[in-house]
Amino acid sequence: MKLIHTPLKQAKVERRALPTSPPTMAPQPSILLTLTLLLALLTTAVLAKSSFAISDVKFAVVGSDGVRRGGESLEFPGKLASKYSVQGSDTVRLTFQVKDAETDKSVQPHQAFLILTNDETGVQSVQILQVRDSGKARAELSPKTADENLVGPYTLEVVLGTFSLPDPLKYALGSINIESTFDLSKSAESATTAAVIYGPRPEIRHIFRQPDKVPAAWLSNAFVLVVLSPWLVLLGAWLALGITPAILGPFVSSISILAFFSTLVATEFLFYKYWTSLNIFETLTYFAGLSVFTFVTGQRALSEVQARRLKNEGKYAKKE
Amino acid sequence: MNTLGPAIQKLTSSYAKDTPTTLKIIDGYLIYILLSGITQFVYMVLAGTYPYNAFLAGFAATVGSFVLAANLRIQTNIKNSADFKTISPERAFADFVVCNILLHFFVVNFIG
Repeated sequence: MKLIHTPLKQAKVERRALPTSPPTMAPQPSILLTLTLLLALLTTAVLAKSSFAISDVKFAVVGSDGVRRGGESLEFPGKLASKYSVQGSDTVRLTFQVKDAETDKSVQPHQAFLILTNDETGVQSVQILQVRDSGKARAELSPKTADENLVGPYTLEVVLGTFSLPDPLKYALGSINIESTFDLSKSAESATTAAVIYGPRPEIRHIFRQPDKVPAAWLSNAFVLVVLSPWLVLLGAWLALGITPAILGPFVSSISILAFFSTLVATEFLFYKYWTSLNIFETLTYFAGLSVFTFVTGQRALSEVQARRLKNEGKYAKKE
Repeated sequence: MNTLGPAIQKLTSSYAKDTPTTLKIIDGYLIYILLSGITQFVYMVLAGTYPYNAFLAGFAATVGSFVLAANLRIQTNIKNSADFKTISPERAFADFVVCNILLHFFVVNFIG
């Protein structure tokens, strides 16, 4: 038997299980017969050979969707009838019952492994068989549990060994064929990263944003005139209403109104300078100073206008 | 349709007779602003929105001016004086000027 170290986790389980004696199974009639025979033999030979007995061997291949794709039940020394082919996503499940061949009591062996040996390369992969107190052993080979790239033809062997029974057991189950790796993506990735090519990479060309389409110059120029044309409408309408330069005479002659008007013009000029050269902080600084003048002159001008209006209204009131 | 012609005639004649001159001045200004906005919009439809901030600034200027002028017209209308007892026409004009200055500042800020 190969020397295999029991993993820590498994060892812990074994240590916990050690003090408890295996529970007794209800003896079956056929086994009772052999038991009596064995007892008879025991009386003659004090040092009888004790070894493992395996029963209820069940082998199954289950697809990733949970559907059973194949499997069979075996009698202990028997092998698998056919060579099962296993897909990468499939789960291989092996269960059996471990007993002491002599006493027919359930045994929980200290070491229990399922060994997969690659027939081509000879590489071995060891899976731990989980054995309960009742002697029920179970091994599952699935994409989650397999930590190696298993692919190709494999021979399955079960190895059992414990202190209470001097003879270990090696049971050749048969062989399976694993058709693809358990982790296809991982293996594909490693294949590509393995081949690193040193050399010039394709040149990266920067494509700048295409400039917006500028409308035709004649159209824009024509529409400058069209957009300005309502000024003619405005002038025409106001002249038709009798707002001629002559009627504006008294307003123009008033200093306060002129001052108000000039501060407004100055404000608009400031905005024009803001558009062309000034930044917003300079503009706001100038605007703060200018707005005081605009407020004062505006108040003067509008109160003058109001006074004139009230005087006129009074005049009209007297006339009426 | 027969009554439409006389109705329009009556409308225009009563407008010419009953509307004060100051309101007519504002109306002329409103028409001017309206036409300016419409022509800018037509240009945008024909030539595309390429200097988009310029279009928005110009169009917003016309819309804002129209709204402010319409408010000025409402507040200076003598028939509405009962609703605006504390607001004299001069006070309304001062509001109009202040709001226009602010509007122009935003428009110029936006024009780029």
